[in-house]
Amino acid sequence: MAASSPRVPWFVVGRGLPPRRASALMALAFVLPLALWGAVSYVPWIWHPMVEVVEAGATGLQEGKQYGKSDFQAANASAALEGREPAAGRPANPVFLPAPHEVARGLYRVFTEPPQLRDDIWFHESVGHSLRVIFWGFFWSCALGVPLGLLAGTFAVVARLVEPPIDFIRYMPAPVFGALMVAVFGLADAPKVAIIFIGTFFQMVLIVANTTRRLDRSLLEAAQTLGASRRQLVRHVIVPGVLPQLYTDLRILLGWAWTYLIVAELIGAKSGVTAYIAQQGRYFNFDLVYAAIIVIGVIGLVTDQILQHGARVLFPWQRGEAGPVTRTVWSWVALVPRGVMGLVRRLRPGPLSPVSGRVDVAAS
Amino acid sequence: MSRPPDASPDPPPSREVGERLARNRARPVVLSIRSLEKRYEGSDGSFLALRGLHLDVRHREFICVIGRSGCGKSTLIRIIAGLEEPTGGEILLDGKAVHGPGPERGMVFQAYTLFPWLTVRGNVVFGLKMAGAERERAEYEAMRWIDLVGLGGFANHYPDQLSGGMKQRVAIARALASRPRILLMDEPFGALDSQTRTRMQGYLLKICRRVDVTVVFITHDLDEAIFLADRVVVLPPRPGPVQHVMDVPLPRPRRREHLLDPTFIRARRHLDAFIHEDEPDDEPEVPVHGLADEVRDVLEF
Repeated sequence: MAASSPRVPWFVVGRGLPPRRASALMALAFVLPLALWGAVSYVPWIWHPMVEVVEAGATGLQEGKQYGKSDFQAANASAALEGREPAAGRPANPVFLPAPHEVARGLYRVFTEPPQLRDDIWFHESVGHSLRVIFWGFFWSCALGVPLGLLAGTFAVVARLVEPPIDFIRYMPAPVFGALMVAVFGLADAPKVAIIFIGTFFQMVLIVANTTRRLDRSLLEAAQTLGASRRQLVRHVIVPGVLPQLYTDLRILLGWAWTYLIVAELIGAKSGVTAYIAQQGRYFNFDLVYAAIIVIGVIGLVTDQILQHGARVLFPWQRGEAGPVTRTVWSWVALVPRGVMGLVRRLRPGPLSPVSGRVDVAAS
Repeated sequence: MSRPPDASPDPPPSREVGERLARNRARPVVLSIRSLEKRYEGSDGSFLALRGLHLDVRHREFICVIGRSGCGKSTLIRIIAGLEEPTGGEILLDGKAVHGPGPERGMVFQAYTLFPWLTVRGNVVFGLKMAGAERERAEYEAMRWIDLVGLGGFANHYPDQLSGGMKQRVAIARALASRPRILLMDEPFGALDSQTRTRMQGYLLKICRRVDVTVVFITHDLDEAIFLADRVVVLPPRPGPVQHVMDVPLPRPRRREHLLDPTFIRARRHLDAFIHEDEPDDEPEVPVHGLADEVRDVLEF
């Protein structure tokens, strides 16, 4: 790589990177934190502020438990003073920082280990529950917020009527409605859905209204000189005109919905992934806690990537809209079939090879 | 009509041109602008953009409106299009007053304003669809207009995939597809490079020969105005009645060679006097301060 691009500087204001360098940096962005985590976990003299007792001796410390370094040394010192057998221990990290391999095992355990108590739920059940709450909250938010936002962005009358109260409400943190929603909707999922709705709806109306107002006004004028009526302007110019940006807005608001999920799951009866994670934290199963967090992150990333890719399919007139993550991920995905094809070609020397050979010649 | 003192009289048209102009004058008036006034009310007082403007445009005429920047050319065409309401006077189309925009007054904007989510065909179909035309019929009509502007091979392209000149041809086809009585063009070629602009002028004249349409064309380019127009209308620098109307003494069809024709040059000089009247002839000499000695030597040499 150094040989291929000796002259290209690394820091250039306002310009992209060569593709190979870009994807190398992307990989590094994942590998570096992992390496740091690994170093802290596996190299005994880095951090490790605790001591895990291997053999208690006659110190009164408990085997398998963790103690602060100074406490451990104090116990051993007093034991030595009184001629008792000292304890043996090895340096350890606090229980809230499991090593990478433990979390990796946790990613398996989180799906296979049955719940500790009969009333507890499986992890995948808790994820399913969370997704349901998000879906319905966001669904109602879109169903009401998008049309209202479009109307407010199109007609000043609606904007004047609707936006001031919404501006007032949106600065109230969604959690303050928790008790109220439970009182109104009871203890089941309905108040949780309502919290997600409250968290996203008011923002959505304002954002969609703003997006609508940002539509190029000259397009509306052009349509008017082509004879479009008021209704036709909305249907044939405003709606298709704002659609791509609206899609992006909703993608970002979906991220907000995930944020409000925590609040929603804490009110009334704890539920969903929040309940699962809280439960495992109480059992000190931090490997499972991290595994659960990672699964949530992966779900979020995958959804977002799918939605980003969907935008390119849905709005073909907008080219080159994909962000850096999308581009790299899809270039990696594109490598898979190429690799598979290469393998197939190599493994099957039969009737395929002359064809592929001819193709190679033609290509070169 | 006021006239600057140093302006030569209108260049005399040849016999052939004179006959054509006479034929033009005999045609019925399509667009009539009656004592038009436009006043903008702002927070810091009002601003008068147009005042006491009269103009008649006859059927199949090609009118170019010129004037100094800020003289209200664009305001005028936007009022004709119905995108702005006048504060006084009226616009008559075929003798009937018009209010608000409508498809009988097609408009081509400088900024293309094609719908980016529609293909070339979709853009041209748009007006017909708004008028409730049957889909198949509309598509067929649209393709004829697309072919007319020479973009038959690009019907399924999106506007973003086209060059500036091609986009403007689509915009012309889109405006013409609604069969307007009058085509309004607001500096349509202002954003194009000079070669493309020259080509577009040729296209436009060719289209106008084949289509039954009257054109009002705003420009600040005198050569463009003379090359395209039957009549050039000069708006005054400050709001007031039309300052001057010149019959262009050139035969049709127009050709590039006309730009070097003595008649053309005389017409140009004639209009120049209106546009650049009471502007200082030469730029005042600016003393060269603060330059290094070597640079000054080079400059003075």
